[in-house]
Amino acid sequence: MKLGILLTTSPENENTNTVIEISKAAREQGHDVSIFLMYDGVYNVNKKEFAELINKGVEITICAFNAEQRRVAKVDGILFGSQYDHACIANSADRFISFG
Amino acid sequence: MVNNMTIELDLKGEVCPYTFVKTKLKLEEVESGEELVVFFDHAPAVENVPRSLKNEGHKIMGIEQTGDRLWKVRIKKA
Repeated sequence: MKLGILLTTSPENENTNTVIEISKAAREQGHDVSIFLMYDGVYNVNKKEFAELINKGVEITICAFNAEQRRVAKVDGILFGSQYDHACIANSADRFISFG
Repeated sequence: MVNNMTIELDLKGEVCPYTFVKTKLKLEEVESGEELVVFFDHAPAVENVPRSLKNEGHKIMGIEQTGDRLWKVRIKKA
């Protein structure tokens, strides 16, 4: 199954931990996970536990415009993309969860 | 604006997602095989619009920085 996740809140919000745990659980069961970060959600790339999801095979894409606005530096393994990528994730997902 | 059968689109001042949306709308007015030249001053768009259009089957003929925070992208419609 393909799971799509949208996260728009910053790391202080409990959404981040929820997304981390859901992503880990989904990957452990062999599901594909794609996360799109926008608004304050872009700050999550600086949270170690979040960025480590890349090593578990989670695909993370971030809104490059929101990242530029918030001066979030590029991170290896994370695509600095756009709403086009967000639409592609939503379009290809079997299930899509939004955390905002 | 049409210039020797190359259509130009000035998107200076526009930001994501309108840079992609307006480019795509303009491409609908272009014949297959013809070129559209788009001008941007928004750095995230210069990376993402060409990549998204390539994903949609169009050909990126060139990405040129023409000034400080000014880019010109040449697209050949699929």
